[in-house]
Amino acid sequence: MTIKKIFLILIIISPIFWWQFLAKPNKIFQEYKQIPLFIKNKVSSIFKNTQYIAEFRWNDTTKDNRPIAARFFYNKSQLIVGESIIYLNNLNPRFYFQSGSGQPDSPPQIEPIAILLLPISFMGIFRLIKNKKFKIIFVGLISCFFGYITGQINFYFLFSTALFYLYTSAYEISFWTKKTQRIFFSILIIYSLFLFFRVNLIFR
Amino acid sequence: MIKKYFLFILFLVGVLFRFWQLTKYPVSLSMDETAIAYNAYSILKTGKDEWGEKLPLAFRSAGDYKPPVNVYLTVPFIALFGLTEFSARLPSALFGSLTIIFLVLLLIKLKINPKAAYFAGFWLSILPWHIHFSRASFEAITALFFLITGTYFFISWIEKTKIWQLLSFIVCFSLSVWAYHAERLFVPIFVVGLIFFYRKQINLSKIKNQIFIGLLTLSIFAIPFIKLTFFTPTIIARASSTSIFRETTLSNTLHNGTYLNTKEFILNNDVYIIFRHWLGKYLNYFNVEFIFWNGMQFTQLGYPNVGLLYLVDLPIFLLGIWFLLKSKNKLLKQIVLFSFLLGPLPASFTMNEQHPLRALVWIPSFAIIMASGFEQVLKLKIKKLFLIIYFILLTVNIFYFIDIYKYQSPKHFSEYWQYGYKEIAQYACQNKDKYDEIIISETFGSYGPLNTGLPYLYVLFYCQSDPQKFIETKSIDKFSFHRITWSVDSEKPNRLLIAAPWDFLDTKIPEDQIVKKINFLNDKTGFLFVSTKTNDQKK
Repeated sequence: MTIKKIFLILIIISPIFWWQFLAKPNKIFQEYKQIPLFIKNKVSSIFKNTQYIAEFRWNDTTKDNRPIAARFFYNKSQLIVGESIIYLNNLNPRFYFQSGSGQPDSPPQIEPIAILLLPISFMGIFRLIKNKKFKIIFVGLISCFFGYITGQINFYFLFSTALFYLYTSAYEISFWTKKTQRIFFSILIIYSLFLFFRVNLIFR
Repeated sequence: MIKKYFLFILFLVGVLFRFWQLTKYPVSLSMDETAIAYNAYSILKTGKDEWGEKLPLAFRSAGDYKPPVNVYLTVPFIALFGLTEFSARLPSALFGSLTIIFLVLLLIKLKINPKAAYFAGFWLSILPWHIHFSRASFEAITALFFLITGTYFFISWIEKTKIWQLLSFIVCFSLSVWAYHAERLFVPIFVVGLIFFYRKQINLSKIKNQIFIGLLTLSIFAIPFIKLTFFTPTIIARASSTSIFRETTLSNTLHNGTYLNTKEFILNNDVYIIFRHWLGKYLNYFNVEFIFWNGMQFTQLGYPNVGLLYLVDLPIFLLGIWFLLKSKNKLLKQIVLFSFLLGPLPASFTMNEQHPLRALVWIPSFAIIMASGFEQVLKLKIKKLFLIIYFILLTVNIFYFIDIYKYQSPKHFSEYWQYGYKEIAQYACQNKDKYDEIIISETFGSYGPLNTGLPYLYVLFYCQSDPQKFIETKSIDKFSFHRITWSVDSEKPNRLLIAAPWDFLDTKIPEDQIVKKINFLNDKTGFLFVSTKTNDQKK
């Protein structure tokens, strides 16, 4: 099977995809309407939470007599570095392969992407790096920008990153033999059916 | 070729970071450190632990059944330096420093470029994750030392099949299992993995004479361990007290065999619920923020913090992954992948999200990746420029860590290190002749009576109480340990009541009765020393 075909199958059987049709499809548009507000709030919040920094500065300056250390370590650059870590956190595999967001955008009590795909997805990432396909890795890194800039950690804004993980899985599977692919897809489809019926049991 | 003076310099750097103001940071001996030191003192003086058990293999202590290795390792240091804070912390700091040497030797054995191995040794010597736990008598540090040493001897044995190498690795791995709880799960799986990876290099005809001696040595360590596990509460009690099943978010969702119907049995089975819960905890460890930004939890949530690794290590870490992916050293790749996935496994089966201490067994896999990263850096055309920038940023990171560790963290967490108990014990011992009884409360905290301590251990430690007497009486002369009930305890004449302000909320204590106050390092009142009236004063 080609990567495109595998990718398409993986998308269709992933809970994060079909869940959007089972849940309230109109919610997605309500969320997207608020994008300007989300972005405004996020940008203004970056330099808002400075009280912790200020407290450390106060400690260093007044209690320990270390004014230079206070200025050097605890300033706005720390907040910026912290933001870059928050950005990378949007790629956290736990969110995609285990917990979901806990909000209406992700299926309750099952993983948004079948857990069977977690090791395969990472094998795919490693294979992409090994084969020097850095463009795809780069696309993966920027895929969570929308989620970051809106400050919304949910699949309305991070669906693109979920797609990235599905693509890397498809990339890895495409290197397998036809027999292995057949066996794997049989297991994956049975497991996906389990997830589908489980959601129906819990959601009803 | 191993350059011994490089190893010595790395050891000295490790010593510098682990021994500098050892008794001052962390700010106070923790309950566990005090218990380990006093039990070692008790073993030295009587051959028994505080409960009177002769040379135990698990120390009951406060009911948590401490592993025995650290206690026995502390005995000679207490014999040498007395029952002091320094001798209590010395074994961990020493084994932490020695770990650096064996890590470098191990990396060279794994066929990593020696220069890169020295860089990785330097990386460990200044690593916040390892420094902090080395400075405070944590059993996990000793266990890690034996784990790394054991792996080194295992690979040496594979290469040369000398009997002493076989015995060394069996003893080291066994001591690692005996030293800390996480290794009890990690080491057996890791050793099976190592044997599997090296299966082609193991020449059975060469080692068949060694198998009997090896098994005999192993059984010396394994049989008592199996006995403790299955015939006493020691191992099971500890495991169940920290198990994920104690988390209500999991236990409340389990059916415990009472499913409504077959559909629920299939679709909402406990096996899936437990697996999913565990998976969340396991994946939590693979988090950039935890590893590089705030994993050490030196300050409260939201405040600037330090990661397990320095932030500046991130590019080297990524280069290490890149190098390993390209590497033709299949064995190295297998070992690093296996240990990297196995590292957080023991911690993920326990309560608490992201526990850096329980995940300490993860360090060797990070070390291999970092060493591979350094090897890749050494191959770069711009290696000089890269290393200069790296070391400049590293210096900034180190000073930032020192600022957080020395100046900020004590203000946040002094009470969690039982700050104040030392002063309480010392004051109470010096002044016990003035009072008929000294009552010390076990509950304290700057925001409420949220912490429970074991003040009796501090009194035993700082008053250098005779262990034999304590074993016989199970009490300390003139001391009681319970929460203060003002209406009752204030009526007793000539008592010294030591407790947090929360124990005196139902009364307004006359100022002249407050003998002393201790503040936590966040400036909040920690303890009040209140004397009750003597019979003469009452008249």
